Amino acid sequence: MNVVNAVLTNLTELLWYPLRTLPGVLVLVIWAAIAGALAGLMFRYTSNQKALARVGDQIKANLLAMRLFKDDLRVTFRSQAGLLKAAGLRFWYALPAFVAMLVPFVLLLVQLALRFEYRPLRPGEMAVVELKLAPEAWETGQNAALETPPGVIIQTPALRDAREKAIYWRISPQEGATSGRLRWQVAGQTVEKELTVCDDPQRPCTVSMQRPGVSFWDRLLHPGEPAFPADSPVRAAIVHYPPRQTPVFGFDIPWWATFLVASILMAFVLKPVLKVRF
Amino acid sequence: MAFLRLGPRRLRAGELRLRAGEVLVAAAALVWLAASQFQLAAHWAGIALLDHFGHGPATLPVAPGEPTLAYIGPGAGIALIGSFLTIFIALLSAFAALLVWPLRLIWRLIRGRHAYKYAQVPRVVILGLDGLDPELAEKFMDEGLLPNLQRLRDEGSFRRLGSTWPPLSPVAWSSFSTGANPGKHNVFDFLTRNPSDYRPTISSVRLREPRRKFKLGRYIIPLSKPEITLTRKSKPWWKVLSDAGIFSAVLRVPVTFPPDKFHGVQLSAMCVPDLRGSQGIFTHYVETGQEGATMDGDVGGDRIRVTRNGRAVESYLRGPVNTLRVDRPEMRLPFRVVSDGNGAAKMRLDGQEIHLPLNKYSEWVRFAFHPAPGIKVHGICQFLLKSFEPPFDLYCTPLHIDPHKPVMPISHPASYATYLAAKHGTFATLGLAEDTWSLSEKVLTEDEFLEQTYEIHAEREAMFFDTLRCVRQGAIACVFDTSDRVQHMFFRFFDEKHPALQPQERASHAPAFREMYKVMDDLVGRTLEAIGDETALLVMSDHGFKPFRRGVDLNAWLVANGYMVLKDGAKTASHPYLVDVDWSKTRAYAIGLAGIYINKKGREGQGIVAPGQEARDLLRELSRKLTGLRDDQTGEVAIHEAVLSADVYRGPYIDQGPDLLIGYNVGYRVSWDAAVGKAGTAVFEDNRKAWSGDHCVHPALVPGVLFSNMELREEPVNIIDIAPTVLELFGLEKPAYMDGKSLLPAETE
Repeated sequence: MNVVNAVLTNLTELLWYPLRTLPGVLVLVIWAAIAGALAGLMFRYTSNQKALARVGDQIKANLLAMRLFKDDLRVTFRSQAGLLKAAGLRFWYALPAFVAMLVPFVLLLVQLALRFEYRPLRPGEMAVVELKLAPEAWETGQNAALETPPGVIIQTPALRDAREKAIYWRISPQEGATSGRLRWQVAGQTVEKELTVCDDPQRPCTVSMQRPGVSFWDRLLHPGEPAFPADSPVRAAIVHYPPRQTPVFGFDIPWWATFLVASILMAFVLKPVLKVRF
Repeated sequence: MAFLRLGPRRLRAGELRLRAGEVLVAAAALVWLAASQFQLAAHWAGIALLDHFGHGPATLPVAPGEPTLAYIGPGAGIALIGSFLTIFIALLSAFAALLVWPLRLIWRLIRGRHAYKYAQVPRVVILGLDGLDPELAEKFMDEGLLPNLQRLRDEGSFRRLGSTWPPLSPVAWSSFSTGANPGKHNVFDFLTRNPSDYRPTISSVRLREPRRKFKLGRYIIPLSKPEITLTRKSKPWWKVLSDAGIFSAVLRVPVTFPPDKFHGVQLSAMCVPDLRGSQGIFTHYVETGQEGATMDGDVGGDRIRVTRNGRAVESYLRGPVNTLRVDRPEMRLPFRVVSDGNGAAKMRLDGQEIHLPLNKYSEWVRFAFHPAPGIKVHGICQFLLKSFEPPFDLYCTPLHIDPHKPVMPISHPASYATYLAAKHGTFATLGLAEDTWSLSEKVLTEDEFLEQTYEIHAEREAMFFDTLRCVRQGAIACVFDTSDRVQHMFFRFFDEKHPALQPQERASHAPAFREMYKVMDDLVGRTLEAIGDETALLVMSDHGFKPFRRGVDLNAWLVANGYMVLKDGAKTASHPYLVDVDWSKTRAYAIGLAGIYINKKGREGQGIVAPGQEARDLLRELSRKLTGLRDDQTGEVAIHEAVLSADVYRGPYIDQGPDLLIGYNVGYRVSWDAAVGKAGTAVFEDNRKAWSGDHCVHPALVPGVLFSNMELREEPVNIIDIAPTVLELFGLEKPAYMDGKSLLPAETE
């Protein structure tokens, strides 16, 4: 998984490179447009297009029948039965495409989340740092001390939650602070986690909120840093960054909503070009 | 305490964000759901707009809005959501229908429009079998070939149904629709002429380009809709029913283009043009020989030479003239055909790959011409590959209007054609859909023509039986043309004296004639099963059929007898549409199938015969000379009776039709040349075309049929009686303009 994550993250970074100077929302829209086009193409080749076209026609016919023969309740109900049947068939014929697209799209969304979900810390801001320990390492690891990069100060002493097996600190980068690594000594091992600090936090860049542990889902959803090995006393190291704002026309819209709307529009626009039937 | 100082809210927000990735897919689903709802709303809006504004115009083919229902997002997950949304809409509409039904009923009662209160039956079904002949029907019934019609004859009624003067489909079906004679409905023939310049036009529809337009660079931007007007006058019975709140479904009844607007649904038929605006021009792709039209006029075919380029054959679909461009070029769609190695081939056309089996029709192929950026003209056609190996031989049907996205109004409401196409698949929309010309021109064989005809028949059957399921109260009329087309093209195999008969082919093709009658009988049988006991059924034809052995060149006769004079003293006119006629000396002329026009002053552009006594005298003189006209070669009487239209028509439009109606004898009809305004060398000529049966004779010689599951009056019946009968079955008074009378026995009135 570490290898897959590293390859995907680096590949995304490579594709990201030409866009790095553009405003965040524009980068997001470009990614969404490409994803929409690719999704349309993928759908075309992984779904039963002929059958979907037939089902689409049946849905249209049933909707129109309800309108054309509205005086007859029996026609209305028969059309509704037809609609239900068509809905089931549509699901059935799209299922292979659904399965085929699930994996690449989850991976893509995770990569985008790495860049659009959070923004780096600005000098003067505060953030909570959380270290989650393995239950068996709690006794020896709960005294772990946090070392911060130059210019980043620790504002609070460690707060320990024995039930969650987690330790919390509050940190704040000072003027002139740069990105670096947070470091802990836990049960005799040195543990590290990236910390991203930037003067222009709205500039799109990779912000890894969590360095994951052995959990598959954690590793899938947090690909920015290599996972801790299975024998590590640490389950996760987390920095609670502030959320990134990607306003569209002045409205603060979640990035994934912008992404999905843009990808829908792109797929819709390209539908005749791609000759795809949804 | 430190934990508390950090603030629980922020931490909770952080916790939420920790899970943001996990809920991404769910969130996406919500957005897609919203998008899907938008799509469906757009679809409904699209239907409403289509019905409200009708279709794109004929000469400015604007594609109606792309149906967006099927599109619900670029991913398969979207289709999943869409499926659930469809279910949701189905349930919602079911609930709404249940909720609204009693309200609609109450509203109807309050408005006093309990439409069916005086109806004798809940439903009337009229099954039109164009051209079904009573003599042949009786012959085949007596032979036991038509058990269902026999049952109707024995248990219900069977009459010979009188037809109109002349007994032509557009005329007769217009009288069927309006219950009036042609003098009131204004349809006298397939063709009429513009009196001002003598040029022919289709008799039932007028097409005009937009009146207001402006030039923008190389494009012409229309500011108004083109004019498509049905020139049939009087009110059809379905509009009378509509006024009373009674629903009608009118499928493929001739002379319904553009469609009427009424309470019900209608699919247009005869006179619906092809994409090129003609009544049906097929294309024959060949590798050798001359290019060009296979015959004169706006029918027949085009012969196009293909280019063989290595393993591929290349050519193009010939489309309509682009009226949006200043230079009005012909629109073309290139295609490329490559062999698949087994005799069959693959065609690349408009971004699609089409399978062309050898000697078998392709599926309907949908395509679009692009007259201007963003504008499409949608059409459909079928191909028949007869040889890929040299010499290449490919037949293409006329380019029909695409029923999924019609560029002209071919149905009411506009969405009805779309409904039929979505429900039953793409179907032929051309008025004269069965391509008789290609058989006459020997491009199709008899078997290939029959295959095409029965495919179209099957399409119409699907629509008809669907209508029977959807309309349980009201009137349904559906006309099947198979009977007409097969008799037109196969009569030569049934008539030993026919000049076009190839004796060696008789054995193989003669059965087609009987087979067609059996197919019609089977259709009647299934209709009887489908309608049950409470529906009134009328099975009818607009005329019968007779052999067409010899043509009468009326113009040649007029020239020979000094009534028509040709330019430069010529004795023959080889150009169509009367262009060779010297109007300053011509007193009478013939065009179309029905009869002769007087070159009347004040009506014709260059008229020389004074209206009134002079015209009447001329007509009586022509009538006297033509009635009983004998064919010197056979010794038979060719013209049974020539009558003055003023003697047989009543109504305000008499002057629009032929002044003298020619009632030919059995075996005769107007010649091919005279019908298009030419004049040949001889008055009589053999008809050697495959078009070997006809009904353009004296109406007394070609009555149609009328079968019913009801008891009907015994007295002679006529096609104009159908409309009053339908009205009486629904308890409505016959309007004053209707000439017919109800066929129901007096006691049920």
